[in-house]
Amino acid sequence: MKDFLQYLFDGLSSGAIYALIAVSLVIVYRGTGHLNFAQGEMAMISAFMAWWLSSNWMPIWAAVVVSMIFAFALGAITEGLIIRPIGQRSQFAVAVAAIGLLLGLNALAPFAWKVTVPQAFESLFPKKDSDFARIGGATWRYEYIGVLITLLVVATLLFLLFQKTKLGLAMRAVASNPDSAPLAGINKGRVLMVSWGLAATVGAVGGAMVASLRGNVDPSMMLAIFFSATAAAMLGGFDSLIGAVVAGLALGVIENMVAGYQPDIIGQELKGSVSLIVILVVLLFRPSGLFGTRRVERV
Amino acid sequence: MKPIRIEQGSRAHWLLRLIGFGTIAYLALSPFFRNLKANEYGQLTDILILALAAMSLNLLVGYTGQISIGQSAFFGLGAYTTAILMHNYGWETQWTFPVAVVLCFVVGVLVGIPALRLTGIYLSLVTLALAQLFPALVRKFDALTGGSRGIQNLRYDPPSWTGLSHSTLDRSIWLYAVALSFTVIGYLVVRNLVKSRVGRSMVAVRDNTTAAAVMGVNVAVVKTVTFGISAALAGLAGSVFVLRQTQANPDNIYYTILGAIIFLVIMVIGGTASLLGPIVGAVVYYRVDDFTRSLPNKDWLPGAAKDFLRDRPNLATVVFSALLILLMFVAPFGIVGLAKRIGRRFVVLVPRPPGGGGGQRGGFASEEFEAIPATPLETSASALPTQGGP
Repeated sequence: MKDFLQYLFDGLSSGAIYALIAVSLVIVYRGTGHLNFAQGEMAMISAFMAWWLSSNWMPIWAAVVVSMIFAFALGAITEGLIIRPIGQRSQFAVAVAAIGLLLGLNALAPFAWKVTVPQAFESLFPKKDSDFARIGGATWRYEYIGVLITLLVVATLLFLLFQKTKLGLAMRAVASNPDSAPLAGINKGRVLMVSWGLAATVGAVGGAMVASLRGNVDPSMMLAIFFSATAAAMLGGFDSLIGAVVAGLALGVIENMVAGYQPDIIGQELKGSVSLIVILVVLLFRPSGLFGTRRVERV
Repeated sequence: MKPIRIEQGSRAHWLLRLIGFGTIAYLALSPFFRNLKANEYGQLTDILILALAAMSLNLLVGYTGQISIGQSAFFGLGAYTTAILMHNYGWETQWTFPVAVVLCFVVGVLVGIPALRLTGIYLSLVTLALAQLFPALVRKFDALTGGSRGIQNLRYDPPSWTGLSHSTLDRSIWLYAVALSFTVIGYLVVRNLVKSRVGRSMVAVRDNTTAAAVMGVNVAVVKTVTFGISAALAGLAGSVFVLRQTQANPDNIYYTILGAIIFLVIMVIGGTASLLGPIVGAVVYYRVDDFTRSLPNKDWLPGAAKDFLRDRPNLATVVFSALLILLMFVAPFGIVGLAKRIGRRFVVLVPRPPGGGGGQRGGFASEEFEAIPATPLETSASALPTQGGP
């Protein structure tokens, strides 16, 4: 029981991070129908931004907020300047451009900030050795709880945004019928830019959480997480926000359970294989995921 | 000015081809007679390895329209096959190549099977998973692969019939020769495939899978076999790469997902769905990379710029990603495609009319028939599902 709770608590925190990145993937997919391969790297760049600001000018929380604004601009500009013009040409080219963006941002961070080793990142939550709650013999660190609460806050805010505001209504309209939405007076271009910006902002929160848990920023910090997040987005159905949150948490917990109970066969090294298996199983048996809308393709 | 028209298969066409072939042969063979230094042979070997890897990807992405970002896994599988067979089992190097090729082919086909049901981004996710998993697997099975320590001291001495000694220089020359022959083999494999019935099936699958199936193309076989051959070529490139490195290590960037992306970048910059594209892309990539690395030591740069660039080794990658995105705007067909388009202003190839006795020019010998295959980057290929409700 103690082990089970421990794996559950650890899994929920890594799952919360998958969920944050998965949510941003879903926002982009709902908006423009693209998988943004650079989503993880955008989060990484934002985390570097937060690190840079906090180590020079401001307290860490303020730095994270500024990095979120930066991320919004980054996402919106990417959509407006790169994705949309290329998308008019071919979907294939968009995928290639996004993959190029992945590589470019990954190299840009060490280039711009001239770092070769991981840089210390101040924790966003209490991180002393004694900062944990003890439940059923297992320890639940406050920083893990903090990450989970952050996810819930972000998810609630997004839910309110999508359901209660005019902007959210416009975004849902564009998602459900991209051709008719402009006819109803919606500025589709602006909505798409906002979608990408919003996605990058959520990603920036995820990036800050990762940096805070790791205690440092490093250009490669999001690569494995991005991969698990895509698995989570797929499990949740690529167009469902709730699905992304639930699937992200579930994937984190499953990974930790498998790695914890099978330390020899799977262990920490092969945690990622869980995501691969999840992707394959979902694709083969339920391509629309757990919460996604089923797609009917006309030939 | 009206472009010159040259009929396919005519004497002028053969002359053009001969000139092209001669130039390439000269460029490839001249290093043997030029007394280069060992590290210069090494650089040329690196270029060939990158070209072969990009070629393998071109078969999959360019001609069959399956976006794969997992080629690094096959590259690494080939590399580790050679390394493990040499180091753990004491095999002679040359016998490890066929094993690497066959192993990668089999694994490639196995990966291709689930890929049958997948298109577009979903397929790239599965290949992404492979790329992500490969270094982890290497670390996990450290009894076999040496884990993070890797495998060191992989020497490939030239066989005695070449008359080369075991010096560093002669070993580099030999490795260049090996890489060159593998690249030529890879080129011929890709070329013959693409120009054959199989190749047209591949393009048909890329441009419209459903229509291809209706026309009698066995989509499943075409996709899986393409996957297998592509993986086999990538594995061969990896085999040579590990010998060039003389060691195998899971931290090497080319065995990770970034390596897979670099292959993709090389292929796209050179020219997607073009036979020479990967080679041109590899040369350009390697030279620009080399150039940007040497920038901080150039005399003509102002001191401030030099100071800025010092200890920032990632400039090349940043430049290449920017170039890639820019290419998507202006020339998605890549350098070779661009050259072809410019060349068409001056020389136009017209096909020989069917059934004719040769000299007679058919009535439809117009430019529409001039066959430059479109790349998936220009057409809105149906390979990727666009969003849309029922």
